[in-house]
Amino acid sequence: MQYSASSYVALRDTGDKFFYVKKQSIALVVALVGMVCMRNIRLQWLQKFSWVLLVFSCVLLALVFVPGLGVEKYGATRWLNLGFTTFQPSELAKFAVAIFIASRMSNKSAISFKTMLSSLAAIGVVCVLIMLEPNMSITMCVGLVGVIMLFVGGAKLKHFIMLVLPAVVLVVVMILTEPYRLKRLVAFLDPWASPLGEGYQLIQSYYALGGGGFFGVGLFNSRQKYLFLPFAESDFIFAIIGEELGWVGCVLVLMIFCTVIVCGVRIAVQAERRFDTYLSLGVVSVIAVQTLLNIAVVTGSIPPTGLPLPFVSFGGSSLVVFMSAVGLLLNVARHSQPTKFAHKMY
Amino acid sequence: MDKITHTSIKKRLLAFVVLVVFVFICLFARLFYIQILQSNSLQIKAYNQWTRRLPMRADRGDIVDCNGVVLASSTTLYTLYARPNELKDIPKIAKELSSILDMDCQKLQDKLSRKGVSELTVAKSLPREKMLQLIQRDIQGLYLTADSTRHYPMGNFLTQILGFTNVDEVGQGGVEQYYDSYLQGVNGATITPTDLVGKKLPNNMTMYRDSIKGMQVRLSIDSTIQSFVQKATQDAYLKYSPKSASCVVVSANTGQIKALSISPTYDLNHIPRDDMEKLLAYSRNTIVADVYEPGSTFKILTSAIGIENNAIKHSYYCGGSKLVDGQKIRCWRSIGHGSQTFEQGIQNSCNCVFMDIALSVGVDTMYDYFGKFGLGSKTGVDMSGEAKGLLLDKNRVKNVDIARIGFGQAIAVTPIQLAMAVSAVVNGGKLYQPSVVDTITDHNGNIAYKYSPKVVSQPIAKSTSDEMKKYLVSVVDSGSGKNAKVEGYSIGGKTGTAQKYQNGSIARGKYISSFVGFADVGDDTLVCLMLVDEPQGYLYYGSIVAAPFVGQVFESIFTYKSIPRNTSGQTPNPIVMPDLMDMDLAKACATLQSIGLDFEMTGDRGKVVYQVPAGGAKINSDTIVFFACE
Repeated sequence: MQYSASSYVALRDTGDKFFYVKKQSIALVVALVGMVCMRNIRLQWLQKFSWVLLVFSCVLLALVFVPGLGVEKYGATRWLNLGFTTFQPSELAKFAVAIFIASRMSNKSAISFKTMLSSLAAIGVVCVLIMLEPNMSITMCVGLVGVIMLFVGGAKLKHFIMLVLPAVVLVVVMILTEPYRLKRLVAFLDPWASPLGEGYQLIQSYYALGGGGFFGVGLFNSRQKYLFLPFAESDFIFAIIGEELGWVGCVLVLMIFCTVIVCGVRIAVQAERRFDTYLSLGVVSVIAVQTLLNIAVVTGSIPPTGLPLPFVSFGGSSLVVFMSAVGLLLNVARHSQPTKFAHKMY
Repeated sequence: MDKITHTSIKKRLLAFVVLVVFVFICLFARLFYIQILQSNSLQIKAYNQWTRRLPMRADRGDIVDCNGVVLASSTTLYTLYARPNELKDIPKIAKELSSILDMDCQKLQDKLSRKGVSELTVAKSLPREKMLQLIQRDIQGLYLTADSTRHYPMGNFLTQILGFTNVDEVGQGGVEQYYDSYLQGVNGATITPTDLVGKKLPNNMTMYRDSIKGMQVRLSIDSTIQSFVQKATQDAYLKYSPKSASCVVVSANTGQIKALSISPTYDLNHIPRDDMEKLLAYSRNTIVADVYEPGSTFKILTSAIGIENNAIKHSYYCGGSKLVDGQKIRCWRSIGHGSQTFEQGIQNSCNCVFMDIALSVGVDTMYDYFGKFGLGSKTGVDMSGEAKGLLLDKNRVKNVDIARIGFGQAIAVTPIQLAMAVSAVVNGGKLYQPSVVDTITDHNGNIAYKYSPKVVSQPIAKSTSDEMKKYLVSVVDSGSGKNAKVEGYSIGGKTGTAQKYQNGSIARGKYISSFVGFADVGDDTLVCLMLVDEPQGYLYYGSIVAAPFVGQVFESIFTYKSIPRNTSGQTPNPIVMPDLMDMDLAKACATLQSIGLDFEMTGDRGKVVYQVPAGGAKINSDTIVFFACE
C-alpha cells in the first residue's frame, strides 16, 4: 500500500520508485527491534522512571528550536536532524505523557487533585512545546489522550469541567489567532468554495474516495496518487486505500484498527497491576485517537489537520514509536492472567 | 477520598470502547456516503483533472447559395503543441522542427526548454502537408490539434447577410450567427491521461474522438442575381458618394430573399477587427435593422388601400398644396400638377392625391391595413437585429398626420417591411414572411430544415393587386419611374424621395432616394428595392438616383434568366439633349416640354446652373431629365 501511494512521487523526486518503501522498511526493522525491547523491559522500571522519559521528550522537543538541529518543512519545525535521518520528537512525547500519567495515577489508590494537577502540568508543558513547533493536531491528540486517561482513572466531573473548559477556550483562541487554521476551518465547511486553495486537499481526498466506489480500482491503480492528492503517502494515505480498495477495503482496514483497540482494552482490563492497566490504556487511546482523527480528516468529517495514520502512513519516527508502544502492550499482556478476567469483560 | 475500584475502571474502559466503536461506525457511514452514494458525481468532477484534452475542432458547415455555389467554408489547419517535460532530446527536436516549420532553431530550443509549463504552443496554422511530415517523425511529447478556419471564397460578397465568425468560430452576425447551432459541428478531442502537471501517465492510451462537420446551410440567395445587385450598389456608391447604397431583391411569390447588398462593405476574409466603429457600421444589415421614412414609395400601399376601400375619385386637382385642418401641406412640385386622374396621380407621384385618399379612408381603416401589411411589427425574417418600424400612436393621429402618412411621411419602416408589403400588392395580395435560408442538411445529407412559404396575412384582394400592377407598370412606362425602364420588358415600380429627420426636424439637403420595382421573371415575380442614403450633390430624386439601377438590375436578370424581349413595342428614337444652362426656369421647362422630355428640378427661380444629362448628349425620349436653378 505504502509502495503504491508513494511510488510516483518517489520516482519524480528521487528517480527511485522504491525510495519511500526502502526508507520505511529500514524504519520497520528499527521498529521491530524497538517492539521486542519494549516487550521485555521491566514495567516497574518504566513506572519509576516515567518522569525521566517525559523530561527527555521535553528536551528533544526543545532541541527542535535549536538552529541546525531543527528541520523546517511546510512552515513548521517538527523534525530533529540526527545526521543520518530525521526524527519527530512529538511522536515520542505523546507516549511519554501517557506513560507519565499512567505512573502518576497508579501511585494512589484513587485519583487525587494533586495527581490530576501533576498530570495536567505534564500535558501542559508538552502541549505548549508541541504547539510552538507548531503542530496543533498532535497537541489535540495529546490533550484528548490525557482526557481519556483521567476519565478512566476516575477523575471527577467537576475536575473535568475545570480542565476541559479552559482547553476548549484555548483551542478556539488558537484557531482564531492563526489565519491558516481559520482558513482550513472555513475550507472544511465548504471545500468547493476554494477548489484550488484551502479546499484543494479535501476535494482531492473526496475524488480519491469517490473514485474507489464499492470495491476500488484495484491495487496500484490509483489515479489520485499522480500528484493530485498532496501527502498521499503520509497523512492522506487512507484516501488512496479508499481509492484502490474501495469501501470494502476501508471497512476492512478500520476493522483491523478496531480489533487492535479492543484487544488493547482487553489487555488493560486483564493487566496484573494498576500501572499496567493505565499504561495499556494510554497506548490504546493514542492509537484510537490518532486513527479516528486521521480518518475523520480524510473523509472531511472534521477540519483538516496533519496527523499520520498509525502503522500505515509514511514516517519513520511514527512507525518506530507506535511499534514500540505495541511492544509495551505485549509486555503487559505477557504478565497478565488471561483466563482470570477474560469472561468478565465480554 | 473515593477509592477507585477495579470494577469502576472496567466500566469506564467499557464506556471508552463503546465510544470508539461508535465513532468507527460513524466513519463507516461517512465513507459509505462518499464512496458509494457520491461516487459518480465525484468521478465526473475528477475526470477533468485526470486528463488533458486537446480539442479537434469540427469543421463548420458550409454556406452555399441556391445553386450550390460555396459562399463560406472551413479549411482545417493544424496547431503543434509540446509538453516540455516529455521531450527527450530538446536540441535535436528543435533542429528537426526548425527544418519542417522554417523557424529559428535557437528560438525553438529556448521555447521548448521553458520550465514550469505543462503545455505550450509551438506553431499555429500549419497546413496539411506539414502536419503529415510531423506525424511521420513521431516525436514523443509533441501533439497536433486540428483547427478549422473560416474562408469566404467570394470576399466582400453578401457581407451583411453572411456575417462572420470569431476566432473560436462562433458566428458573429448574419447567417453565421442566426444559424450558428446548425453550422457548428461536434468537436472531437484527443484525451490523454496525465498527472497533476500534465505529464503523460505510463501505460495509458491517448484516445481520439472524431469530430462531426457542421450542417450545410443553403440560402435562397442566387449569387448571380446577387452580383447584379452588388454592382448596382457599388456603382451608386461611387457615383453619388452617399452614406450607403443598398438593394434587396425578393421573390414576391414565396418571400425568399434572392439578393441583398449594402455598400460600402468589407472583405469577409479581412475583417477590420481593429476598427470597431467601421466594423459595426459596415456589418449592420440596414435592410432589416434600420428604419427610414419611405416617402413616395409608400404611395403604393396608400393606393392599394384606397382601391380596396372604394376611396378613389374620378379626378383630382393639385394646386401645389392642400389645406388640411387649416394647415397647408405642400406637394413636391410647388407649381402643382393641375387636374389629373388617379392613374396620372400615381404616375406624377402627386402628394395631394394621396392625402385625399388617406383622409377619405380614415385613420382606423388605414391603421387596420398597416397591420395587415405588417407595418409596425417585425417581419420575422431569419436575421438578427430586426427593427419594428415606427407608427404614430393611432389615438393621437390627427388629420394632418394621416394626410402626411398617405404620401409616406410621418411613418418609418424597414426596407424589408416595405419590400414585403409591395410584394403583397403585386403578388395577388399575400403578405409573406421573408426568409434567407432555404435548406439545412447534415453531413449525411439528411434535411434538418426546409423553408416553406409562410403567408402572414392577405391584406388586399387579387383584383386590387391586378389593378395596382397595371398602374405601377404605367409609372415606369410613362411616369416618374421611366429611368427604370428596360426596353421590351414590362417593369412596374414607384420612386421615392424622402427627407431625413435629424433631432426631430427636417435635415436640409439630406435625402433618401429610393425606387421599388417589380417584374415577372419566368414563373416568379421579383421585387427590387433600391435605397441611396444621402446622395451628395444636386441629385437626390429617387427617379434619377435609384431608378436607373433597378432597371439595370432587372435587365441583367432578364438576360441571366433568358427572358425573351418583347420586340412588338416601338424602338425609342434618340434625341439630343438641349443645353439648358443659364436659361431661366420657365424657359427651361418650355424647352423640355417642346421636345417631349419629362423632367425634375430643384429651385424656384433664377437660372439653370446644373443639368443631367449634359447638353448635346444623345438620350432616349423616355429619359427623365434633371436640372437645378439657383
